[in-house]
Parts: sequence; structure tokens; C-alpha cells
Amino acid sequence: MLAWALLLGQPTRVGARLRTLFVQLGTPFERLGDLIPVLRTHAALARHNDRLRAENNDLRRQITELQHQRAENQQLRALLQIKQAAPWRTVGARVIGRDASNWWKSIQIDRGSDDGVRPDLPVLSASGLVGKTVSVTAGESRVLLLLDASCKIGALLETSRDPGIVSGAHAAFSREPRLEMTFVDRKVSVKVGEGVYTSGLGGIFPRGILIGTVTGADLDPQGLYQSVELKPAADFHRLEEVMVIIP
Amino acid sequence: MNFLLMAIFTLSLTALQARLPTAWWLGGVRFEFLPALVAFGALTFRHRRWAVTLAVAAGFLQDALSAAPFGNTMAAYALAAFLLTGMARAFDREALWMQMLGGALVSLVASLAACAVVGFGGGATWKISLLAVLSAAVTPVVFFVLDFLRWRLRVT
Repeated sequence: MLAWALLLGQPTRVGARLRTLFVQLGTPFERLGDLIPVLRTHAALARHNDRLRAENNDLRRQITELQHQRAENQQLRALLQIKQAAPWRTVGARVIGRDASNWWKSIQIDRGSDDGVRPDLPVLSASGLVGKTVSVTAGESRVLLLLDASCKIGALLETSRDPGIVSGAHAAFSREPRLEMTFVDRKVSVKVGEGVYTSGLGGIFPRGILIGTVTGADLDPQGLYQSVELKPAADFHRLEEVMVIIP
Repeated sequence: MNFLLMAIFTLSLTALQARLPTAWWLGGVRFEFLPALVAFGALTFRHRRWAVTLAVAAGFLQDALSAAPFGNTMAAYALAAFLLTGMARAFDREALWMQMLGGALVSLVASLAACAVVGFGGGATWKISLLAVLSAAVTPVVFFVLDFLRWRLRVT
């Protein structure tokens, strides 16, 4: 063994080749040793990754929450502006339910007779008229939406000041809700995009609340009147907070 | 137990029906589950009075969560339950299409009662038919779930 070791220790060609061979054989295995800290780091990285993921999820949740709060804040600010500018006393309310039936269009709000709400009071959103209260209990009220065909409102065209009656229009397979203004004088020129406001006639809705904007007019050649199609000003898909006007 | 099960199921189905959004691709209507429940009661309960009681409760619940005149749906469901229990012998309760027919009939009566108030214009016929078809589609599911629950809970 000693002789063999001495032989290898000498700078002979055989020794050099043997060394090379063993170096070539041993190096890859030696490099495997480098993996030990890598494996150790991998475990640490996995833990770190899990922590970051959890943190990321938490931040995402916070962002969603903040976005929701910002949207709610914007809505409430808009409502507050109306409330401050409006000459009427108003009560803010949150939408807590929709209509269980397919034949009526209504929402439920979290304010009732305890807050001064009673039937036949106008309800507004930040962008326009929503409807009127129809049934009231101590802590909640049901609001019949403009979109319901039975909710009729006296209205005026913005430019011509011509009157008409606005009610919900039946629109099966339509993504967007539509309103119809009927009994508009056929001689009146109706402009697309002009606003339609409450006329104040009828005793429920005060004058000058925006109902919607004109999207088209249908002139019956035989009829005395024309009917005007409106896009409601209020966004009925995203109705969260509303205001009840209490005279 | 049967009463408790039906009470919980009625409340759950009413809440689900009120919570479901309307879908434009369904013609702007939402699924109604209460007609299926009324059909279940009418074709399952031994006594007519229980079927009518369930129909009255379901109708009042729907009316309470709607702008409908209070009692409109109740009267329609009660009438439908009364009619269905009268025809129960002619109905094979286990047959799928009979269950569907029962659900559609209840929906039809309720829709006609609603139209008596809101009017028959504006595509009402189309809506009545659509709601009857949707109720017919939902009814076997409600029958299956309730039958399963009754079997699991050993309720007769």
C-alpha cells in the first residue's frame, strides 16, 4: 500500500492519468455536495415563499377591501353633495334586498317608519331618481323601482319642457334597463342625449330630479303622441346606497 | 321533524330566489323555486290542508319580499295547491314529467294572478310561458333534494 501510494505520489504519467480519471469521476459527486446548502436553502425558500404568498393574499384582500371602500366612499360623497344641495330633508338608506318575484321590480332598504319613512316617498341615488316607497315597516321599506311598469312619473323634456309620463319599459333579453316616456306631443322635436326630469306633478316626486337621458323616439304615424325611449340615470345594477326624500 | 324540515327548506328557497340575479339571457327573469315547493307539497302530503298550508306560507313569504300586493301570490299558490291535491290521484308523483307538470301548473297560476294586477301587456304571455318552463325544469331537482333529505332524516 505504501509503495503504491509512493508510486502515485510520484509525477509519473500513470499516476497523472489515474489522478485525472479519479478527478473526473469524483468531481461530479463532489459537486453534489454543493446541493446540501441548496436543499437547506430550498426548504427556507419554500417557507419564505409560503410567508410571501400569505402576505400577498392578505394584501390582495386589503386592496379589494380598500377598492370597495373607495367605491362606497365615492357613492356616499355624491349622495352627501345631493343631500347638502337639496332643499328637502333626506334619509340615507342601504339596499338590503331585491324583489323575490319576477313580476315586480323593487328593492328593500334598511330604513322604515322609525326613521320617518312612509309610503309614496321619492327615493334617489347619487345619479338620479330610483323610485318610490310602497310598503313600510318599522325598520325597513320596499321601494318600487322606476323600471316597474306600474311606477308612473310625470316628467319634462329638458330642452322643450314638454311633459310626458315615464314608466318602465318591457325589454326581454336586454342587458340594460330601459324606460319609456309616453304622451309626448308628436310635434315636439326630441334630441338624443337630452335629459328628462321630474315635472313635480302628481304630488310624489319633487320637480327637477333627473330621471334619465333620451336614447330614441318612436313616432306613430297614426297616433297623437310619440313615445320616447330613455336610459335611466341611476345604475340599477349597482344600487347600494339611496336617499329617501322626506317632505 | 317534517314541519321543521319544510320550514327550513321554504325559508332557504325563498332567500335563494330573492338573492338570485335576473339573467338577460333568460329574458330578464330569475329562477323561481317556490312553485316547485308548492308542487312538492301538493303531490306528497297526505292531507290537503298541509299542502295548502305550505302553499300559503310560501306565498306569504314571496309577497313579503316583493312589491306584489300582499296575499296575491299566497292566493295563487293556495289555489294551485288545492287544484293539484285534487288531481294528485291522476298524477304519478314519481314520474319526472309529472313533477315538471306540477311545477309548471303552480307557476302558471301564480303568473296569471300577477298579471291580473300588472296587466297582460308587454310580452306577458312570453314571460308566463318562460317562467312555467323554468319552474318545470327546477321542480324535479327540488323533489329530488327534498326526497333525499326526508330519506336521510327518516321523515315520513
